[in-house]
Amino acid sequence: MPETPYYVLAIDTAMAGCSAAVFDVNADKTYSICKQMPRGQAEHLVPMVQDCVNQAGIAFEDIGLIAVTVGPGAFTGLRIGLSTARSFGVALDVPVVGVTTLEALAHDYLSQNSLEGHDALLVVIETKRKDFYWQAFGSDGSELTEAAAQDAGEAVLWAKSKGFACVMIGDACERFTSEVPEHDFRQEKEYFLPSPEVMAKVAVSQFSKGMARGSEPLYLRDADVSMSKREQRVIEQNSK
Amino acid sequence: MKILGIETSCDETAVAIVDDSRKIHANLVLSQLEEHSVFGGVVPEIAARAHMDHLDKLIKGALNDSGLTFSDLDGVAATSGPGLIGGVMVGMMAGKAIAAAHSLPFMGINHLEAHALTPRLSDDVAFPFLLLLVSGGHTQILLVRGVNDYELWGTTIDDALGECFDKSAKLMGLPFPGGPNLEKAARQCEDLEAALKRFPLPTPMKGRKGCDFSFSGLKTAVRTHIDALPAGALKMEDVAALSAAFEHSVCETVISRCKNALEKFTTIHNGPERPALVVAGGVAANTSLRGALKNLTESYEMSFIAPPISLCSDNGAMIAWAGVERLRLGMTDTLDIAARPRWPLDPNGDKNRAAFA
Repeated sequence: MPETPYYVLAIDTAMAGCSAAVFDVNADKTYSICKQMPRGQAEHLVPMVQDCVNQAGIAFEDIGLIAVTVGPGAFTGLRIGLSTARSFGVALDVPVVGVTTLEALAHDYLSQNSLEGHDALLVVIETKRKDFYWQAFGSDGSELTEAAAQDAGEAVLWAKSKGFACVMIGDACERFTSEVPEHDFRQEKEYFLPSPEVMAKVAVSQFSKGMARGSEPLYLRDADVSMSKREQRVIEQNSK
Repeated sequence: MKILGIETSCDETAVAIVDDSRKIHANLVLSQLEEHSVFGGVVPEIAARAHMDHLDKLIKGALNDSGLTFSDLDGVAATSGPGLIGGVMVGMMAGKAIAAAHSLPFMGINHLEAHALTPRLSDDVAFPFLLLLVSGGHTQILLVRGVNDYELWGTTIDDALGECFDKSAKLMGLPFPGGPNLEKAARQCEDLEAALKRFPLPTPMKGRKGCDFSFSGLKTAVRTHIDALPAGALKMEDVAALSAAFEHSVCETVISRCKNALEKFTTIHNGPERPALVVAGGVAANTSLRGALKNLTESYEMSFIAPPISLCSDNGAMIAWAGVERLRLGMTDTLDIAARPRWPLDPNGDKNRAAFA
């Protein structure tokens, strides 16, 4: 079993916020800064991390584990956090554990609420396109579906096929409801941004079980590329 | 003074360690050529993803290569613009994190300044010098007075020279990256005179006052020639001849613009040393252009400096060196510095160019 770290640094910039926290595992105490921030994370993140480390009264060398959201979310945003987290990992020679935005939100909700007669928790996250990032979780936080980027109808179909009553959270709830108003999910407000405290706890729990996710980005979508419409001419193979 | 340098502003992921005695302790460059070749150009999101995938391994690799540890470093420098912003973010955040973790000074480097200061790393060139910066994104003539002290004398009013190379090469059916492949094709041309007659091309801006460039007309002329060739596969000898004619036009244009710059430089520079014209940026790898520039400087009794090709194309050593130059002058940045997609070297560039022309 990997040794449990004493201090965990958690970082999130994958959605419309910028958050950092230092979690003191033994004291079960968190020093965190969370801000709503659709842009500007690249400027704010590292000074926020420094502030958390100072608030916790520790030095960077005391950090034993780093937790970071790997997505799904905004591509550039999630890379801001990931590159920062991985580089702290290299610089401090400590492991970096990835937490998905979907599981961070799910664990945050489930740590404070029960599903109260519902069968599943649906987390829906904004893609800023037509579709949604979504995933279903059980009341114990277990994953009932794979994380996916799909139209709202797919989530509704899944719930119907299982005959599940669902609670829905996430920053795309309202758009989801406006697109498929016929759904009967119970919509919960708040839980729009991953909590770095929850991320740190999820990371420690997974890490100490030897089940931690790596820090590979979870984009759920290929890069947009447009091929040139003008056909490129070819050069004769055997000509001089 | 040892500085770690990180470069991720285009399609090269690069990390290096350089010290103030101009020693390069490590210099790793990972090119993303393959990732972009099927698209015939750099795709920003693919570039950013590739930087993310490889950067931490390159940082570890540079430390391994040099036998150094983080505690041996005196500062961290990372490109903070101009360039493809998604990629810039990856490198800049890595640099900030390392600087924070080890309480080191951080320098957010202007990628263009790194190109501009490279001849001081490779050849210890003294200020002031004249710089021709030619890359895929920029075509500029600058007076380099010192670190952070530049006067823009000329720039392109449309396409960058490297862009013109790449687009023309694409029109000719040459594979990505266009510039080096076009140069290779041009070398297969056996009769330049005949090529120039067969494929006449304009030499934009030649004979005009000032130092500005224009390359979109040249690219259009290449397209016209290509469209006039018989349908079906192009003959390699035609591509070779057109490539040679293209390079010829490019050299004529660039020399004409540099000549105006040298004239002005010799009137304002009266130091005892033989001043230098420096060429930097990816297109500085072009052999014909280097030859033409060398000839030009000889007639003005200036020295011609072209850093080694590995330091002309994007690399981490130039970023680390710019970090050395800035840290020596106490020019460090706070960790809340923003990435800048556009970042001119001379904030009064338009005024200075206009005064020249």
